[in-house]
Amino acid sequence: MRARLHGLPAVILGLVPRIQPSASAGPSGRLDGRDKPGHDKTGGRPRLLPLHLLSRKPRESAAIRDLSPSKSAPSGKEPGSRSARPGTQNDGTGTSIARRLSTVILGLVPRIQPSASAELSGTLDGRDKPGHDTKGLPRRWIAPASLGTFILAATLGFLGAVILAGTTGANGQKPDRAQRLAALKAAFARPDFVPHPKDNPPTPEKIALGKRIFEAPQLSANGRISCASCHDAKLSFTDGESLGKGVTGKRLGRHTPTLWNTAFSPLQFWDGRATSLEDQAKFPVAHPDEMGASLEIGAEKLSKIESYRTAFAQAFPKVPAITAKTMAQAIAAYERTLISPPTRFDKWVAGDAAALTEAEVRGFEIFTGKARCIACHTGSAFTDHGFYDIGLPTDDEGRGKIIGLASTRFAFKTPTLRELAWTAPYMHDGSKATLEDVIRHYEGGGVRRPSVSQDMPRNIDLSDQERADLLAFLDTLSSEQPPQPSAEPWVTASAGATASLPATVVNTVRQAEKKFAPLHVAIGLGETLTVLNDDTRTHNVRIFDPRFDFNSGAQEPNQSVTIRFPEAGTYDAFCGIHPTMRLTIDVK
Amino acid sequence: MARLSSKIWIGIGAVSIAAAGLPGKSAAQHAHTDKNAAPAAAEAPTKAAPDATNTPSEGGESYLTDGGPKDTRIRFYRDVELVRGHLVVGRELVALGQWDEALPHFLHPTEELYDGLEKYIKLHNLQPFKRELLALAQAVKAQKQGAADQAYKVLEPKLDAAIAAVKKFMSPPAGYIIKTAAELLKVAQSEYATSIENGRFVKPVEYQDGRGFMQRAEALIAQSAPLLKAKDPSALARVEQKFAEAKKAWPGPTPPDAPIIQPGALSALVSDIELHVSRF
Repeated sequence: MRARLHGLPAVILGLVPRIQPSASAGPSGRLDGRDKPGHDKTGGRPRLLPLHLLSRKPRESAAIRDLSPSKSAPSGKEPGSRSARPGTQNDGTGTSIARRLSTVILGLVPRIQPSASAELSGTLDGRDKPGHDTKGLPRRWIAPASLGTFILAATLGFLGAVILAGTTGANGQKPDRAQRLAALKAAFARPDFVPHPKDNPPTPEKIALGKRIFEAPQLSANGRISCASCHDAKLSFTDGESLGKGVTGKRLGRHTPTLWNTAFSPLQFWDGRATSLEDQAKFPVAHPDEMGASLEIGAEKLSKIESYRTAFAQAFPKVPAITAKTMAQAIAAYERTLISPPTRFDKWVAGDAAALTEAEVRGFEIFTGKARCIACHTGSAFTDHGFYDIGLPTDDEGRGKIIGLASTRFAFKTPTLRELAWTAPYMHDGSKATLEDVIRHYEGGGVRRPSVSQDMPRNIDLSDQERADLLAFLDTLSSEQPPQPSAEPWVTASAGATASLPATVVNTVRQAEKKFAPLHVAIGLGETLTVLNDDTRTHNVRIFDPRFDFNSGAQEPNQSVTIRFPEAGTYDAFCGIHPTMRLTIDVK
Repeated sequence: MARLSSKIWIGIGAVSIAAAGLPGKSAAQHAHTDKNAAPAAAEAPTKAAPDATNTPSEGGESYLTDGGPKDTRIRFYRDVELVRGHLVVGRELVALGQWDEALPHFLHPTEELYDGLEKYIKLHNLQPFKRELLALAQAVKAQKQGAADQAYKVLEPKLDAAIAAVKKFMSPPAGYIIKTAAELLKVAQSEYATSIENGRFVKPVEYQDGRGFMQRAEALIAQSAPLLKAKDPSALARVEQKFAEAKKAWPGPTPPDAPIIQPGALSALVSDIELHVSRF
């Protein structure tokens, strides 16, 4: 694998604009041009903001220019095998690969540690940098039609970022602060497509219908509660409470999660029991304490309303029936438009160095370094969509109850960190009222028990200043005003071409860094496939297929699983703990 | 937590304290300011305390368009308490199920007050709380009690922190606290007067504003009283007595059919309180 990926570090390094520090520039910046007292060198927001004062000369690196897809793609497989989306700009250089990677990278390694001695040596990037259009936004990449492809793409980006973390710069030195920040920023670049299932492409009519159903109280037993009652748009699609209430008035068992960015999540609910948004839609409607009815009953009710019949005919012109399935599809199509809008953080990632204060940048470094938040909160939505026991006192077994693994007891899905300021309280049980409470929880480490995730930060000792910086950074992930779903055109755009990777003929798959590698393999019928956990955390191999229902159980580090498939065909495997880990197996 | 620019508020404070020592006149009447009180002080923290009788060309009274106190500490404290006053009366109305009546009181803090606070929040590197105020307003718009309670839970420590920050520059604090109470009462009285036309209440929101501010003033008087009793018991007794009378103007969150106290009479009570507060 390493041999095949040797080209990636250069690709990733190519994401980093070359910075030319200005000799004349220094940390003399003041926000308002006045030398205010009381703003010291470490904590004063107004005092230090030198990034934008420093000159820069971004240019493409030689490494980038030399990288054509055919040269750079690891063993000619992954990036190079992808089909470009129609209309996607491709300048014919390796920058397109860097662009692609930077657009979808979901995470970067926590082992990138900020250097205490690092100086602010220059602007980190520019609006005219490679991979960004004239507005400073990442250029479009391909738009995979499926969530699986989205995950695949993200994983590729992650791989590159991981390699970057352990690499050295062109001069043989460890990357300086500017380079590290640039690479880290790439890991959080905003996506430019929403993954949609092939059988439920979005249309404006379907999205509008989905919103209407979402807000329809007819779906509940008492006719007074809709999906929007608990996922209130005024409250960032939450109910703002620790634990919500449904038709019975009883407090529910878990905190109502925000719907921001659920489009990117492979599994839904805190415990991941729904495999898609379409699948998810039926659960709250049928839950006796939530809406106390069913989609089937709702379909009957809506079928009696002329305007709904018309709307369904427009949304589903081929099969204009009002059914549980079409209702769920419409709701899901609407929910996929609930993408959190860009914030100051995205401006910074896109190249506006002045978008964040120095304290906020320091907070980002703590987030990605000392505090290890990035271990789970990765990518543009700040979630790896995985399931972890983070040591909250609870009897709720969460993911463990769903997949039956002791190691996933008390594990719940990593929530998005977007729009945090508008989505309090926090955690699956809503037990933390403020972000300060959340950070204190992680500093304390929570309940000690065997199932607590290996990714849970331990022995974090943040100073008051570091905590303040971290909070300041987290603040940048929220809109300044009550957020509305992103109006970026890609949010409601139909999916483009489907990309796929060619299969690699191997019999062993690895799982390091929360990724299957390779991502697509081919084996012969009768042969076995070995999946080796060479990661530092517990994994699982799950195949849920009518032909073959397989569950490896807990797969601890260094353990391997051997699988023999019953018949030829293509199978999809995933990790039940880290569902963005997807593996495609062709059995021939 | 908050990194306070001690020089800023100390600089102003020195002036203010000096002014407060002048008999018969409030600190506000003598404190120096120029056009933008805090930033100006921030720019020249090491300057000697300017003369209290600065010329208008240096600011004088001209900047006081809102009638607020010149001492930026009291001004900041007052404005945070005005925010609180809005929320107090807003929550009273929410408790009565009057969500629509309550909403303006949750919107006014960001629409009318926060901008004035923001420069100090930035200057002193305090935790901002605009989004927390907006989130609370969103919960009220959604008419969700639980969400409103939760949002308040997030907001309250930030308000406390802002006040704690400014109090570090108030030594001894009791005098400043009760002066802030007097400032709140002045605003309350002004709102009260605005709410009445032709002998009846026509602007309930202003009446309610006044009630919220009055309640915060009451809390501050109670907070400072134990500390001030020894200093000037008669002045404090007078303040408490006149406040008890003034408080009757706001019998509840909904205006009464007719004013219980006429605006002129309330103004006289508040002036009396202010006069005696100046002795601290």
